[in-house]
Amino acid sequence: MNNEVNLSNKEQIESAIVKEDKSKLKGFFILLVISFIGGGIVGALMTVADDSNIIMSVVDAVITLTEGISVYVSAVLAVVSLPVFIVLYKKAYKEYKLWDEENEEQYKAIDGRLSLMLFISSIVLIVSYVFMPIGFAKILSIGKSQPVLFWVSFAFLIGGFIAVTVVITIAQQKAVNLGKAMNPEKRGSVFDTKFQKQWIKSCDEAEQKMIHESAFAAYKATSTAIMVLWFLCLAGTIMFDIGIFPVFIIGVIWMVQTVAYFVKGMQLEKR
Amino acid sequence: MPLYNRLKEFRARINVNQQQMGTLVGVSRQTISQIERGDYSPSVTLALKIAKVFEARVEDIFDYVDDGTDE
Repeated sequence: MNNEVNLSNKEQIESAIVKEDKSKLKGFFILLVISFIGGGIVGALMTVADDSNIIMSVVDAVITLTEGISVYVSAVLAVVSLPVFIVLYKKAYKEYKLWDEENEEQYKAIDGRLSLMLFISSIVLIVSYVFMPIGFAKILSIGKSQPVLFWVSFAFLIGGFIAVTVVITIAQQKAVNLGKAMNPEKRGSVFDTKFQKQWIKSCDEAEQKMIHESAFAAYKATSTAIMVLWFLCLAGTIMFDIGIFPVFIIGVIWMVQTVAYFVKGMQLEKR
Repeated sequence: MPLYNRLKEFRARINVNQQQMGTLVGVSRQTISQIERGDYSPSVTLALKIAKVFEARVEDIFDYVDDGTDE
């Protein structure tokens, strides 16, 4: 009797699953058709634009501009971000000194400034890292035939990169340490290679839940970005002969993201 | 929000602030604040730890009322 009841329950569940799939199938096929048609239209437009050299002109202009500024980006970021970090930190520290350790609005204001410091420092770091190899490519294209320009550019590139790294590191250290002063149970030093692990370990259940939700939001955003970048690589390969390296890199990132997600999921299921 | 609590009231009885309460049960001050505001529902383990601090029952501190909304 129990087996009959179980079979009946399983049949009901499977029937509900099939019913749900069928209800969404129509919309899925419509989306597929729209994507095919849309992709075809975009491809045709790109071919027309390519024939008239519009896209090539725009791409050339963007590349020229990017290469032109690449050597100076890190130095400019270091100079611009430093006063921003100083202002944010000073305001946060002043408010921390006045905080009575109970007022939630005051805590949120301080924490908001520190989070902004960490967010800006992360963006600055990414931009510096992206422009670093572009800058090197620019310097190599200058070559030793123009030694003055070569060495000035080299100094700006390396000096700027070191400067921005120092500024970011100090900003992050200050923000993290003030965060630790407000939350004494937190552990980890930004100078420790195991900082992330120690920090998360010292987070309680509510904070870990927040971290996990943020991580999943990042995973979803990255998945969408990967699809967009894959499409751009496809367009670039067809129109500009950019080679296989860009799409290969996208594939590696996609694979790492997917494998990491599933491996962790399977580990957690086995617990 | 279906989970109501009297954590602030119990805390006042034994005269501990949020930071001290957090230390007693092993969570941050911010989590205690979130629980009191109803922005976070503690796990069973944490709820039991909180109740133990006050030598009270979990039901004395936390109350679930089904208002028909999902959390």
